[in-house]
This record gives sequence, C-alpha cells and structure tokens, in this order.
Amino acid sequence: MFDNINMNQEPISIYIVEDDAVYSKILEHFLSLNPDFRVKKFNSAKEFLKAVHEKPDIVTLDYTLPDSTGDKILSQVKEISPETKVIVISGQSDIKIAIDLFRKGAHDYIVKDEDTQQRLWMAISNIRENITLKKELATLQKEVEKKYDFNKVIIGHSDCMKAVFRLIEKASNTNITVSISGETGTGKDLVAKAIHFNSERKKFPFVPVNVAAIPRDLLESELFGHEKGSFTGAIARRIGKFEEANKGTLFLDEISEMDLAMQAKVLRVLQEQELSRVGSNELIKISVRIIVATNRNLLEQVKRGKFREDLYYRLLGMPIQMPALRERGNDIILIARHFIDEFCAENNLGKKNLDVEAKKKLMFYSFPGNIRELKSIVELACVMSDSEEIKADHIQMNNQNNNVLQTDSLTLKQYTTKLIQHYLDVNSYDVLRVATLLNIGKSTIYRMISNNELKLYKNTDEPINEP
Amino acid sequence: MNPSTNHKARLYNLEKLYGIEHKDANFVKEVLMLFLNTIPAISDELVKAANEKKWEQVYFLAHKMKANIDLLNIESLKKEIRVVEESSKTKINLDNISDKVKFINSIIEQCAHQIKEDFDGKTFKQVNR
Repeated sequence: MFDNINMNQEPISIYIVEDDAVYSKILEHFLSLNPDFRVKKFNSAKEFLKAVHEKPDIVTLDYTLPDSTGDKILSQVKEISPETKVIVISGQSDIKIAIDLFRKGAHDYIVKDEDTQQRLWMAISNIRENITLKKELATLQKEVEKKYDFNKVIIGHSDCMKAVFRLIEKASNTNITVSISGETGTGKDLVAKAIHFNSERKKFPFVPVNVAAIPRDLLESELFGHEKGSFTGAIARRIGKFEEANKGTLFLDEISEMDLAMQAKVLRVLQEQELSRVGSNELIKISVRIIVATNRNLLEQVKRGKFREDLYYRLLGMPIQMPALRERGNDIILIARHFIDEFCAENNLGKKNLDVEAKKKLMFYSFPGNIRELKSIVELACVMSDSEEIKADHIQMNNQNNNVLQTDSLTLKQYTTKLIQHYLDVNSYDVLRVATLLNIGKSTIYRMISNNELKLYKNTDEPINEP
Repeated sequence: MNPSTNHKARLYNLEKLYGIEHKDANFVKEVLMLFLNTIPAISDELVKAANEKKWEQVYFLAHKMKANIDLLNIESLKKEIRVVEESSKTKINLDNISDKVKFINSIIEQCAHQIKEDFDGKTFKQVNR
C-alpha cells in the first residue's frame, strides 16, 4: 500500500478527531507509517477546535463524537480554515448524512468497515496530490508576480516612464479597460502583462491575441470558439480566447487591424458580457478584463472610417501612451546596461561596460525599432567587443538614416524638414502629436506638407487625405 | 444466544488487526490493551443506559462498540450490536434491547477474559491468526 510514496514530497499535517481510543490508535499507526505525514490525535471536538487554527492540511473526523456532531465541527473547520480537507469517517452508511456533509464542504465520507484504511489512503493520496499541485501553482504565481513587478521589469527613471508606472498601478487596482498605444517595440505587451499580474485577476489566465497575426476569416472562431461541424475543418468543439480568458485578462494586440464586421461582434460581447460560439445559439456568460494595444492612432482610424467609433469609446478606458525610446533620455543607457548584463551573463562573456562615445552614439540615435532595436544593437556590440569596454565602433546601427542628428552634410532647413518627417513617420503621421512633441505649430507642418516638403504616407504607401 | 454454549471457543480473532500491521506485534498488543481499557467499560454503560431507557445514549454507545467488535471479528456480536444500534436509533422493537445488551456485555466480558489469557500465555498471536 505504501509502495508509491514519494519521499521527496512536502510533509502533510493530518489531525485525527476520534473518541474511540482503539480506532484512533489504528488510524494514527496506519497514517504514521508514512514519514511525510505529521499526525496528531484529538479525542473530543472541544480539544480539536482549540487546535484548528493551526490549519492542518487534512482532518479525519469521526461523525459521532460525545460533545458534538460531524456536521457542526465540519462547518466550524470550514469557517476557520477553509483550505483544510475534511474526511468524515462514520460508523453508518447514511446517504442523507453523506449528501449533507458534501454540501457543507466535506472532501470525503468513509464508512468504518473492512476497506476503511484503503479508502482513507486513496482519499489522502488524492488530497496530497491536490495540495502539492496547489503549492506548485502558488510558487509559480509568486514567480510570475515577481517577474511582472513592473518597477523591476520595466526599466526607466524618465518622467514619461514614471507617469506610465503611475497609470499601470491605477489600472492594476481596478477593472478598467486599458488601451495602450505606442510605436512598435516600446513594450506595450509588457505593460499589459504587468497590469494583469498585479491585479486581482492574476490567479486567472492572461490570454494574448495578436489580431494582425490571425487570418480574418478565422478571427471570429479564434475569439469566440466554435462548435463541432460549424464550418469546414471544425472537427471538434473549441473554446475561444474570450472564454479562455474568463475571470482573467484578454490582451488584444494590434486591435486596429480588426475588420469592421468583427469589431461589431466584439462590441456586442463587451456590452453584453456574453458570447455564443460559432455554430451555436447558446449564450455563455463571461467576465473578462480587456486590454488593447495599437501602434496606430485609433482616433485617426475612427475619423477615416476604419474603426467603429462606439467600439473606440468602449475600449478607450484608461489610455496609456508608451513613449518612444528616443523620448526617454537616459533610460536608453539604463536599458542598454540591463541588456548588456543579461546577454553577457547568459553567454559567459564577463562584465562589459559602455564607454563615453558609445553612450553618446546610443543617445543620438532615434531607435525607430525602440527597445527591441536597442536590444539587438547592444547584443551585437557585446559580441563585437573583445574587452570589458564597448566602444562606439561596436555600436552598429541597423539603419544609419535614422540617426536624426546626423547633420554633417545638411543645412538647417534640410535638417528641420528631415527631423519633422522622421517624427511624422514614427508617430503614425499624427500631425497634432508631432507638433506637440516638437513644440511647433501644426500649421507649420501643414504648410510644409502643402509645399511638398513633407509627406503623409500610410503603411500601404497610399497618401493620407489631409484633414 | 447463550454464551455458555461457546464458552471455550475463541470469541475473537486478530485477522483484521494483522491485516493492518502484519509485522508489528507490539502494535497489536497496544490495540488490545486499549480495547480492554475501554470497551468493557462502554459495554457496562450500555447495559445501564438500556435499563434506564436512555435510547440516544444506547445508540451512541452501540455505535461506538460496533467498529471495535468488527475489528476484533467478534462474530457472535456483529449482528446483535447492529440490531441494538438500529432499534435505539429508530425507537422500534425496543422490548428486546435489554436482553440483547446483557448478551453483548457477557460476550465482551468473556472476550476480555480470553484476551487477558492470551496475553499472559504469550501465545495469542499463534492462536488467533
């Protein structure tokens, strides 16, 4: 019977509540054969209830005690220590009592007979497995929480990042929908995870969906699930991402890529908090926190009829604008140091530092690919450097044209035009935003556009209509 | 139902106890000591409660004795203790309870005597297995 004991498992505390001295002795002896079980005996309800605050893992409870009954004690245990598993052991097989006990939270109901020990052993083995899994889960959750402690994971001391941290904290304390915007590579997904894993929903799933990565005709099934046979290829029932994220968080990345028909369906789900799988009329209630992200200007998309206005306002919730790396000043060096340390440790390269010129080179670069680009640049620099020092020569930019301060052969006017064009390129051609960022009048930009000095292009290279 | 008819036969056996712990004779002795220290006294209380027609108390005591009677395989009492338990619980057929508990008490007494004998003779293990 004890052959399958795993000696490496954590000890389990088991309290025996039994007034029958003989039976109590037998249970104690039987359970103590397993060195992982810490067994204590109590011969009355009164004596046991004094110790229940110690929160044992398991209690074997005799249903008939001189000073109380099993159901009363069970209720008290569940009130004081809800996690404790109670196995009621009774001298009689009474289905009504058993049902009542299960309703009150008993884990098992065992009748005293020839098989009692074996049944008890099975019940305890199951509980033990469950406890071990729960402990593992709790450990993993702590690790994940640690991993997404945003003050440690998202590096940055700049004012704009401090503002982002404040918003993350506020968003974590509520269920508000969050819309994160920012250029590619600014860490929008990291912010979404930080909000989820610091919120009340952290015990439930965080489900990311990259809308742009899913073919349009499959998106509905991906989000809402489908019934078997609802379309060609639907060989089995499948739950969708909304259901998967129930009680947790659904992160819809690149939301602006969703087509209008799908937007209407998502809007309905968000309004009603219920959905039906493709091929089914059954309505399924859900409770999902939504976080969306985009690298486009959603309001601009609304104006252009590409995004539903009602969905826009539904999703806007708390907007968090992720600053581009070039707007974060010294954060560039802080993040570069972090990536250098991480890469050198992973590759046994020894400690390396950036010299002054290398730092300058990084500070003067515009980083169109933001943090993702910085990471690849400094990792390459670590490889290229043969000493403890990383020099400017080791910093190889992916696209030298993006160095906005490369001014050697430019006049002031050319430089200004180039700078504004660059800001338009990396800010989704949002004229108002660029005007604010550069502290110039929007009419200046519009004038330069009408003079063909500046261009407004979408990703498809199709000119954008001026407002 | 007359205990004298089976006076010399073994009233109990340790098959189940050895089934729980087949190696540890000390454990078996310990359990038997507990049996001797508790069950005869409970049996006396059972007689008293039946005489006083305290049926709830009779039920409680019979219920407690039942598991011990099963554990020591006291065949002659397995059915009797259940009848007493059920009658006192349902309060039906209470007339015969007094006789039955006296019978139970007498068997428990003999059983205790046999166990003590087996302990003294140090042969209980062989005899009862």
